[in-house]
Amino acid sequence: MKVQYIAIIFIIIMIPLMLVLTVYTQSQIDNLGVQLQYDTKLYDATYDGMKAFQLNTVNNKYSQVADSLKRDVEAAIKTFITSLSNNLSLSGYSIKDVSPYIPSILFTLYDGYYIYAPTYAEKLQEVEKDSIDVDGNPVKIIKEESKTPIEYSYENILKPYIYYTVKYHKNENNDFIVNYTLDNYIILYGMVNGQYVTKSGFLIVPGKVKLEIDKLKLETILKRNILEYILPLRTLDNADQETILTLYDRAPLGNLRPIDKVSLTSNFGEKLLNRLLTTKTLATVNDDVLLEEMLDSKIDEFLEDDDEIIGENYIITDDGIIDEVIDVFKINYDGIEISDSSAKKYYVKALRFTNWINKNLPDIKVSDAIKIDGSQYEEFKDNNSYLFNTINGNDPEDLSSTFSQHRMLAIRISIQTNLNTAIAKYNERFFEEKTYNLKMPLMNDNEWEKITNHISMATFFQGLQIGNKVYNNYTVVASTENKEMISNDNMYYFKKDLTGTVYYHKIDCPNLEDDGEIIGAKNIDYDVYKSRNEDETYEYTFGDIIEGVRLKGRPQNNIKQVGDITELSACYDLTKLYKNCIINQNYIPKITLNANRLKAKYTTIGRERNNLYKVNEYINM
Amino acid sequence: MGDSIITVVAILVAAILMFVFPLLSVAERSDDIAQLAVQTATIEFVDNIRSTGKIQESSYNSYIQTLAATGNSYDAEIEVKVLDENPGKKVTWASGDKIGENVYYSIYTSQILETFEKEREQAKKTNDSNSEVAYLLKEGDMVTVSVKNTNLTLSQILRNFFYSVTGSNNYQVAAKHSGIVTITGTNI
Repeated sequence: MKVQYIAIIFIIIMIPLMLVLTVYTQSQIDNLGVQLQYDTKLYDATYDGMKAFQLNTVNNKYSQVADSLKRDVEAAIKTFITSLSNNLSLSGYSIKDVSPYIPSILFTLYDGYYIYAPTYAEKLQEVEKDSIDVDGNPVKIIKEESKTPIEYSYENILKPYIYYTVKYHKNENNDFIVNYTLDNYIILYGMVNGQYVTKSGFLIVPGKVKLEIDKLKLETILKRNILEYILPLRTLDNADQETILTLYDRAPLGNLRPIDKVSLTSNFGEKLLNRLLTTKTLATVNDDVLLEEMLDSKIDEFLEDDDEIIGENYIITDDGIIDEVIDVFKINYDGIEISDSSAKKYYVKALRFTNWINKNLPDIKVSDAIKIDGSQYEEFKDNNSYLFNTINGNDPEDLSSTFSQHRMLAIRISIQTNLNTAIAKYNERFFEEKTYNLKMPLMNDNEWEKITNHISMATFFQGLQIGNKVYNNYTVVASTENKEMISNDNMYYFKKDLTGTVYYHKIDCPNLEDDGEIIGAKNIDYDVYKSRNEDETYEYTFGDIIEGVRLKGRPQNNIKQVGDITELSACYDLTKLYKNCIINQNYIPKITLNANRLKAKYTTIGRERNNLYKVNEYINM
Repeated sequence: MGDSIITVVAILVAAILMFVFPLLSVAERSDDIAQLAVQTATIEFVDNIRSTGKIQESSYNSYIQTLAATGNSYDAEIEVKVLDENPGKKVTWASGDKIGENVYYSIYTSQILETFEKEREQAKKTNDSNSEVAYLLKEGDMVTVSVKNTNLTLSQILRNFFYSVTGSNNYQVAAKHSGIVTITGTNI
């Protein structure tokens, strides 16, 4: 056979092979391309959802109220699904077309999380029953009969809110639950040293806070408050009859507020008790001598012991009292003097809470964590580090500390378990219809770090047929601009420059001038919102800051200003009040923080944390 | 005589068909694979920037390495559109009495690399070996990465040999991805 024939036969064999291979490779490449596109679309849609959440919560005065926040989460999820169906070129189709492929959405908030998932619901048979209406006439009412479900269906709902809780059991006397949050704030309930307690507060390193007391100021305040105004109706506290005496505010009679508790074993307590026992009535004590003694012993208490600053609750119960008493303290945090009273309150409260924890729970180990069924966690059982002992190097604000590592892992385990269950449950039904198994994907450490330290939204999208493959991915978007939590990263500091323009900066920005006081606020406070009235005028709602003046007191989010700047033609909903410092344009080395900046930083974080509404703070009362 | 010319021509044709044609096909497949790798790497790189709020030197380096592993040389360009939220005072070309006209200004690869270098120097000066070298972005910025090959790939060479499509801006492997940054970045 001639050589050209061999060539032709070779070509006849090879060309179809090559063509098929080319088509196959190309389709694989296309699939991957589509998959990558979907990844991006999923990410974009999730960001849209998160953005909606940020906008909604900031505009929602009541976002700290659970139900209201739940509505915002639902809106965010709806935004996500709508955005996803638009992005996937499925617009025109209803949310129902996309939602079967979303086995779950995770929404982590400050002290717990929501899981949105298709949930199995049974519809019960309805039975008519005889009854009577309000006027006594016989009517038929429809009552659901629970024994015979007639229909089963999956409904996409937000499952109940789950807190980041871990139970600890050391012995019968130390058996309690800790509710973690995304930062160093914890809530504790249960038996501690044989007593049932409920406490909440920020856990810090106690050595960083130094308290000093201005004796003169203290005396003035105590004289005014205690001698002339407050004291004393008194009762013995029921729970701790033997040791604690509760003092009540006398001023608004009929509306008694406990203002202080005094230990009867203290000097002052003994004196007071003796006095009360001799009078044997609940009459007011108008004895000047006793009050003088009381004043002295209060001052002694102040000076002697940081832990028992003044009674048990004096500082914490009432903001009005705190405001005055707080002036008495000179507070140094990390060597920097704090002068803002809100910030001082944060440090005092945190110190008191931390001291209490360190005193009462010094020997709780990570391995004391148990599951609800009483068994130990595999992850924790070999770790014998002291969890709540923050005195030696265990800084709860440092992500590498024992406390933080444990907190993050505990949150992660809780989320993993519940998310896994939700997806697996839904899969039972999904698998029947689609022959595809939905599974919870493995997320990497970076993503978990995001989830356990930020308000975040994780969305899962699985089971959609693309080409000859099945799409399966998830995405995590964290939020740094919201009013649900406070962290150092969310703070901006503002300063007017020579031309009168106010710029806001990060704390280590070299363009931030050092002279004078630096004021900061959380980033969300810099936003200006615009809304349109019926008569086509616009209204602007500012955050907490106007022209460099931070307004005192709360609520501050509703200052409306109409007129000044209403000539705005473009329509959008939100902008910043001040100009962002342009640091990124040319590189300028970041500077190490000097005392002035550190002061601004500590003051701002303290103030914002103190002002943050915390759902569980009341349990300290 | 005529026969042997035909034989020579036939051998030439056969050689082209049997060797060059498959080679061209294989070279094109390999470009496809390179294209896919580059596209994947680019999308991952950009999405990583978007979700962390920073361009880390380490992730930039590994991106460049992934590109190089395809056997071609590339020109990778990063453009960051930094959101200049601009409520009161205006730049010269906008009227001063409006609030909220947002302006973007652009930062390019060379500026980002310069930042890396200076940050490294700074870290060395302060003996801070833990600090991460990164260019920080904020929520609302936009990042675009576009990449194309600068060498001639095998398939390009072969194709140019048969039918000339050369031009100075002709490239075979290219990818582009962009998106909005979703989180304000922070140094660890």
